[in-house]
Amino acid sequence: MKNLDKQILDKIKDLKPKAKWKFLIKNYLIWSFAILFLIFSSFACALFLYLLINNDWEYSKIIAGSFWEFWVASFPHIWFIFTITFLLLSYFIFKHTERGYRFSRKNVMILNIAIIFFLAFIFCSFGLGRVVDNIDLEQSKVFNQRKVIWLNPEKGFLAGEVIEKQDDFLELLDFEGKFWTIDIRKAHVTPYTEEGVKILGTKIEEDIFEAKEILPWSRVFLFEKDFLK
Amino acid sequence: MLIKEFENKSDEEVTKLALEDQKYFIILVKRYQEKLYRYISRISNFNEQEKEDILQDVFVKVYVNLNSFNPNLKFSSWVYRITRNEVINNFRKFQRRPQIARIDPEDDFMTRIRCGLDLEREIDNKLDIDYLKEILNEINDKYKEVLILKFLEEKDYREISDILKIPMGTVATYISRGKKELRQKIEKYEKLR
Repeated sequence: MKNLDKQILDKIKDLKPKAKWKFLIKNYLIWSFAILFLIFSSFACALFLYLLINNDWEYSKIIAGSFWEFWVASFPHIWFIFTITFLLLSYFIFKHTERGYRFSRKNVMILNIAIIFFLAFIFCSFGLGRVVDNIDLEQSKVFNQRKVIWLNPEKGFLAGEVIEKQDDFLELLDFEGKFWTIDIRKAHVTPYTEEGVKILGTKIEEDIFEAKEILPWSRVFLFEKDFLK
Repeated sequence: MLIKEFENKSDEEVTKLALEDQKYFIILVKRYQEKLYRYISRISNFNEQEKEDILQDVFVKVYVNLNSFNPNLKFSSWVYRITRNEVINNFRKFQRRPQIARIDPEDDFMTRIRCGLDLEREIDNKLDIDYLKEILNEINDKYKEVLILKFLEEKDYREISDILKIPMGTVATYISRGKKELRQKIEKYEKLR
């Protein structure tokens, strides 16, 4: 092998080392994206948990005929896919951090999943899961099937916002923006703290619905109640 | 003169000096050019001119990226990593696959591999070196790469992990699997003799 000192020195003679800040920015960017995707994943997981916890498993047979059909129709697939996708993105970006390669895939994944669940739990507790209920009806077919399931007065399911409450009647605005008069004289009413309710019953007329069961639209999650006050 | 004056300085200290004044970079070149040339020979089948070109490119990259060197790493691990990446880039450029693991007669490889593999029998050195070249090329590339770093470059697990950018546990697994594969092939060869 030839002595390459001279050639190497000639080659670098007009060069300068790249500035340190360029490498620092690159490192910060990689870390920022890894953290950002972890937060996205936690957010998607919060919505997934919110929908899963509030899913109407107890009415599965009434709604879909069988538990499995109900599972397929109401499982929040999209939020599950988002959770996994962002988790994987976060993992791959973390592996490209300066020392990310030192950690085994299993350990990084376990830690990421633990962080995602922890953050999702916190997000849910502060009522963040409820943003999925603000998605409009057209998009709800993909992002919140539960809303679509409960907009089926012909089959006896109705949900929406309570506008006015009287002794025997409720005024309800459903997810499509239609006003309903709900006869609650024969209904079993589970106390609800917010305006959102879901109703099992029978459609009597075009805008009159007789309720058998009135339930809160969603369950209150841990200290969400205090936070919402 | 410069080399002697700074021979007690660590690579990391010389790196800092090289960032202030380019002339100190020659110390790193002197320290590493032969080691890296040998390493390139061991993991590739490029001809002499190509290897020298790769080596020059390696040092240019090392110099240009000096500020990205993380002092938590060993400098040698960092330059070996750059060298390996440069060799891979050249494989892609020339659309070649790594083939030859070069073993010099003066290498203490036989002793090391014998200890590493717990081989009891003394084997004829000349024949073994030729044979080992052959079987080293037969085993899985990822195991071969780790075995070369372990037994030829004498790197420890942490250094191999930093050079190949894989977790230490994976290094241990690859070494164990590589040794097992190598041992099986050697034993098969011994039976045929």
